Amino acid sequence: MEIGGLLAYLVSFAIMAGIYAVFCLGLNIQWGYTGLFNIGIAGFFCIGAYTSALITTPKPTGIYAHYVHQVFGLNLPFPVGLVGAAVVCGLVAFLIGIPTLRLGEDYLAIATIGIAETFRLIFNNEPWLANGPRGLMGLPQPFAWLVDARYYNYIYLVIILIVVLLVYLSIEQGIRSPWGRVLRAIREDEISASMSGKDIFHFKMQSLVFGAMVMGIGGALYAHYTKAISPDVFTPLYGTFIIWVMLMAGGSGNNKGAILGAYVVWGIWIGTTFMTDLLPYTLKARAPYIRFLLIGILLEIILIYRPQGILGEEKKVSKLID
Amino acid sequence: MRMAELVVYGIVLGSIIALGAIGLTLVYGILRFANFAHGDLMAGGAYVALFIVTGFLAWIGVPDTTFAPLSFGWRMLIAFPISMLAVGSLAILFDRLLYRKLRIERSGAVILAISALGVAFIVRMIILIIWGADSLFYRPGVLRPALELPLEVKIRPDQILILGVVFILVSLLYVFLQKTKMGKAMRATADNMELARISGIDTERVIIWTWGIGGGLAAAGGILYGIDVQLHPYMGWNFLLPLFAATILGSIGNMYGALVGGLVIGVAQQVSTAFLPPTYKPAVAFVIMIAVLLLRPQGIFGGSHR
Amino acid sequence: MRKGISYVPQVDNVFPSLTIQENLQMGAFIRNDDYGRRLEEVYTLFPILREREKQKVARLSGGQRQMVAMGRALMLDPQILLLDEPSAGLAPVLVSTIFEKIKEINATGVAIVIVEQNAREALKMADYGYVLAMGRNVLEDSGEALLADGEVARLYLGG
Repeated sequence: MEIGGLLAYLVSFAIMAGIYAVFCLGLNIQWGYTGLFNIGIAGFFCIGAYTSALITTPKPTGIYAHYVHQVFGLNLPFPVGLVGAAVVCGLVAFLIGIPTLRLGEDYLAIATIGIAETFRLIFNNEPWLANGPRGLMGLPQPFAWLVDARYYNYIYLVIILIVVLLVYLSIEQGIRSPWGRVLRAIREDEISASMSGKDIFHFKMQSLVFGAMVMGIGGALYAHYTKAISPDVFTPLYGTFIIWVMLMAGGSGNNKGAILGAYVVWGIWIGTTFMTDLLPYTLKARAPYIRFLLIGILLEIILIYRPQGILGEEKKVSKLID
Repeated sequence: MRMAELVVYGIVLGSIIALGAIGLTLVYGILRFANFAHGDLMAGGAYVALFIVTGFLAWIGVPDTTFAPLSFGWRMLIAFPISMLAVGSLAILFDRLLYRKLRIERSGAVILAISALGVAFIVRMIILIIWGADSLFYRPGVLRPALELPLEVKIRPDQILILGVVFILVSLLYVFLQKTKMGKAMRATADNMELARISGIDTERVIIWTWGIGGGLAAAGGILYGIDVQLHPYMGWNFLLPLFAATILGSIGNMYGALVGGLVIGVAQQVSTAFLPPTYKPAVAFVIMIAVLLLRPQGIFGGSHR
Repeated sequence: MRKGISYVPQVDNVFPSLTIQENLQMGAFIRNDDYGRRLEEVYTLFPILREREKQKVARLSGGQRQMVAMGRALMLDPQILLLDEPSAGLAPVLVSTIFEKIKEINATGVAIVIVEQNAREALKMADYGYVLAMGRNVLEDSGEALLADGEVARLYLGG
């Protein structure tokens, strides 16, 4: 493979891993710092992606309306799509949180599964919403007019890295603050945290919402990278499970760990593509399943032998203490 | 009347859900552990039976006849208990290999649940690797004659048998829990594991039996579903919401509640198809579950001591 | 347990969803022999349990539950019985019943070690008593001597 091809390959790897890094950062807020067990990440992924898609594309008119159905289409620029995705996800998280945050952690988990499934079913079965199973295509890419399509990914990589950096810095800022300390107190010991007078529910809600907003941004970034989305993209595997593996691998409770985990696990995922090239022909179609099996086994190994992940939890508690 | 038919079919499906829910609630009652892999254990059971019926038994030459008017014959009769044993053993294996280690390390309930989620995906991937992503049947292309009952309800002989099998299994479980030493020990451990331990009950053995029974019942449920409808690699995931909804509705830890819960969810899901597209059935289970959690979180049979 | 010690915790000391009979059966879980004779002996000690043996323990009163708890521990024919606050949470009239029963058990040859907040009553029937302060042994003497001791009375028995 010549240098140009290799470089392009690395760039698309870095983009996808970066998108997943955003998701890991969001999950880290919810789980790493607050102990909320969210198995419905795919739902926020889906909503974020679709919201940005609907905001940034025009509503089909004329003959196109026959083929593509959208409930709305605002044709606004990319940043509005990002913001819109974050806002809608935050709103959905808020509505979800009202009934479910008071439940125990196991119940929250199954509730998040249900919500993710429900949204996927709705998007899949209601064609008027976002074109049903066929999904939306031709999503715009920011700054696409700057360079030739072949080199566009370099620009997108820069965008991704900027977003990851911004998200990382704002979360780090938040965690160092008194707000962040309360979150961690809640995760450690909810009962004594609630006895210290803070309204636990509100903190959990804020954590859920901010985490969801970050995930919404991730969904939007994904949509504009792949330019086409449909409900079967947001599976429990690619949309939820792999993100958990990434965060557990990198180190939950650690933002650097979240980003690292995303790159490492995505690296393993891409790396195994080469491994399965060696498979006999008959098994080639099953290759993704074999690779995912390895990821699943990897998770179990991590949970038993190194549950704190590569980096472990961040030790710094407060700016004031340093 | 279409509604009566939906209700009857809902009871059939509900009894299948109940088998899984009973296993789930047993495990939760004793280990306080939400087993997210339970749906895929059901799928595992169905596929193990498929392997035995279409692969192994064909290979050793067991005839492929059916017990008319049912859709299966000797092969399934042999495969059924073997699959239950196999999946029961598999469940025990997962516990010894994974969950037990995490229990000993005193990992939180969430870590255990994540590992169960991992097991769910591992099982599903193995199914996908061996059988691929298409739907499969125990006997493709078989004619399924339906009996007519009063109220214009059509029911297949298979389905009557499903009800019978579930009834037998649940009754056996009841006798086991009420009359045998291990059964009583299981109930005691579910009440209070610490006390059970200091009373001299071998709680490790109780845990093994719990997984074995839970896994076996799950396998039975999966096979029955495969007989009635089809086998599909994602059937395990699709069972999760109804299973949890049934367990929560029937009060976690309560075996009879899980039975009732399963039936209610099954009927509710089927009746919903009169108004909604059938793909929304898991969402129906989910909505019921949320309603229960909001209005009466302890379930139908729960006391306030929880 | 294998060393002949049975323990009755202060709270959560019965299996509520099991019947009295089943609770006692669970006490005898590790016995491989026929424990019927032992069951008879326990029922003789606590006749009211025999009357209600098929009832679920959750429905019993506090005093009856305490009896079930002790009965369960006795099923193993222990040499020593450890009781943690056996009178805690019981109405006063039941307290004396429980202590009566404890004396009866002791009379059958089982040594009993009690941790009790109701120190006066316990010391009355105790052969020996240990006073612990902050987890350390402060005093030990025969039951009567401790009762008669003014310091003990002032500090621990309420004057």
